Parts: sequence; C-alpha cells; structure tokens
Amino acid sequence: MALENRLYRLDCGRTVNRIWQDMFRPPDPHTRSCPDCQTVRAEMEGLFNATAALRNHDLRQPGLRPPAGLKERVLDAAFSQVRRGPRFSLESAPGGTVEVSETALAAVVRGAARGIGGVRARRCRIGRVEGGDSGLLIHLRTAVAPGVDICAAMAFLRLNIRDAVEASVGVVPQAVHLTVEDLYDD
Amino acid sequence: MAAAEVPEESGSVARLRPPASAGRFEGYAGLDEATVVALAQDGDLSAFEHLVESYQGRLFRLAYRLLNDRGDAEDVVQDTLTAGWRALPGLDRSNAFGGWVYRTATNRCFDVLRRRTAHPEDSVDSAGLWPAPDAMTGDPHRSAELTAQFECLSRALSALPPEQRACWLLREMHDQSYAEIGAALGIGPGTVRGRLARAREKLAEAMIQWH
Repeated sequence: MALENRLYRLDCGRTVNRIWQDMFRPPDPHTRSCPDCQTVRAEMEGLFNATAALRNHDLRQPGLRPPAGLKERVLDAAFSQVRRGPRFSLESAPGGTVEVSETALAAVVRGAARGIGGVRARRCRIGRVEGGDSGLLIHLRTAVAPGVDICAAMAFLRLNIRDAVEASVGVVPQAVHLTVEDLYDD
Repeated sequence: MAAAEVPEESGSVARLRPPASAGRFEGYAGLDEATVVALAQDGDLSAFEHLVESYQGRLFRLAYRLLNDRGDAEDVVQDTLTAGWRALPGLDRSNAFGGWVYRTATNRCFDVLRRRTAHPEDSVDSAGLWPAPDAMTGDPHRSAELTAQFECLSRALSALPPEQRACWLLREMHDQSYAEIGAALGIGPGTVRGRLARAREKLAEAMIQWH
C-alpha cells in the first residue's frame, strides 16, 4: 500500500504525522501543489472521518458511560479506608489538654486560606517541632493566581492561619511554613 | 433507625457514608485539578468524589475500547479509581493524578488481555460495542454509513496489537501528548511515535478498503 513506504517522511520533506495533524483544516498552498501530500491526505481521509465520528459517538453514546453504581462502589471503598492521620495532644490551657486530628486541623488551616483572594491551599502537613514541648509546625503548600503580591499574600495568610488555629484549639502554632508551588489560571 | 447505622449492627460502614454529592462536591467545580487532588491527598473524600466524577467516563471509554467488554471495563475503572484513593498520599506532585490513573487503567487492561490470551475461552461483549448511531443523525442512509464505518474501524482496531491500540486510543480519543502516552505505557516518545504511525497506517488502509 502507498502509505506503507512513506511511514515517516515523504519526498517533499513533510511527515505523514504532519499531514495527519493538518487534516482538520483545508489544504495549505504546499499541499495543494504537492502530489505526494495530496495522495497521503486522500488515503487518510477515510480514517480521519471515521475517527472524528467515533470520538463524537463515544462522547454522546449513553451506552459508553459508566454505570451509576460504579462511582458509589468506588466511594464506598474509599470511605471504608478513610485516612484519619495522626492525632495531636495539645496543652491548650493550664491543667487541660485538647486532642485533635491532623485532618481536622488541616481543615482549619485550609479555611484560613479560603478567605484570601488569589490564594488556594494545597497539601497541608502538621507536625510537632523537633525538641519542642508542644509546638505545632504547620506546612501548607499553595497555588496563587497570576498578579498576586506573593509576599503580602503569604504574610496575611500566615497571620490568618495563626489566628484560626488559636481560635480553634487554643494553641498558637510555633511555626507556619508556606510554599508557593504553582500558579493557577482559571 | 440510628441504631441500624452502627457499623457493627448494619454490617457495612458504607451505609454511614453521606450520599454522593451531598457534601461540598459541587464546590470543587471551580478549582484547578491540582488543588482538588491536593485536598484528596489529605483525605478529603468530597474532593476525591470530584476526581472520580471527572475521570470515570474517560477511563471507562478507554477500557471499553481496549477490552471490547463492558464488564471487564467496569472492573478496570473501579479497581483503578479505588487504588487511586490509596495511592493519592504517595503522589509527589498534585498534578500527577491524571497520568497515574491513565497508566494504571491501561496496565490493568493489558493484564486482562494477557489473561484472555491464557484463557481464550473467555468471551467478549463484541456485539454491544458498536451500537447503531441512530441518535447521531435522523438520516437513515447516513446512519447506515456511520454504522458501516464504525464496524470497519472496529475490526481494524481489534486487529491491532494491544500496545498500538492503546497508543492510538490515548492519542486520538483522549488527546494525550506523546510524553503522557509514553508515561502511561512505560515507553519513550520515539516508540510512541513509531507505534502511532504503524497503527495509523494499518487503520488508514482498512478504511481505504472500506471506501
């Protein structure tokens, strides 16, 4: 077959791959004047049309959607393995302690970030300061929107987190480490 | 009754799970995927639900077209996403989840195909793979033409080696880049390019014969 011997590059220098990628638009001046390109394009037209039709079909065909029960089964399995993470015992008041899970504390940290425009909380890790008595070490990774004043936003976020954690469990974190790992652009 | 929802009495902790989408699920629609993944990595089940909703259809279509069997495709998607929940905390980068689930689903499909080779008596649901596309067009002539096109492409796709079929499906049906396909299949971009070219060549020739 004609395509077989021209798997990668035609005599004119164009690749079959390039011709395939150009199929969705009308032939350019080179293709209109190049017999090799015209031949390959014609040979791939049937596949191109069938591929487009198949893609459209698969996206719309109800029979090609997963059953509703599949998501439920996945979530049931996940729920049965909910990761609770470690728990921290905090001395929040003289003679009293508060025990809190990392997950719950991370939710408080995230809540503190939610109120700051242009900042999104990502992974949150909470631990104890090495050698410290009851100091909490919070590490939050974040993404920011383009144009955000990162220094100002992070300083504000750090204060917000300290206030939120103190209001929540009565302990001021000893350290809040913030990392900007990404820019997001919706 | 509340007593019936005690796990020990109901026999299933699943009955305690809030119904799907009852939580903050809708609230994740405006977030970038890496942020949602990060939440799920830290144990947020509603964020994971959003990811399941986002990926289950794509993975199902891929598995269905690779395996030609609805039941096997459902099993692959369910196993992949369930394993995804367990794998989430260990992912280095929050934007690696999509690549992970595509890679895992593809590998599980290959496992199924290998098992079938070992047990060829296992049947596949090929009759239901290409339902007549009447819903796509009101023109009976066009519908018949599309059906014939699909059947031709189906036969040609089924005849491809699984690795070439996976390359072609990931590229043409799922818009994966060469690098993403390479990561999913554990091969270099040059090998992806070669497999795609060979797959395209065989499929194009099948479609030429159909015309």
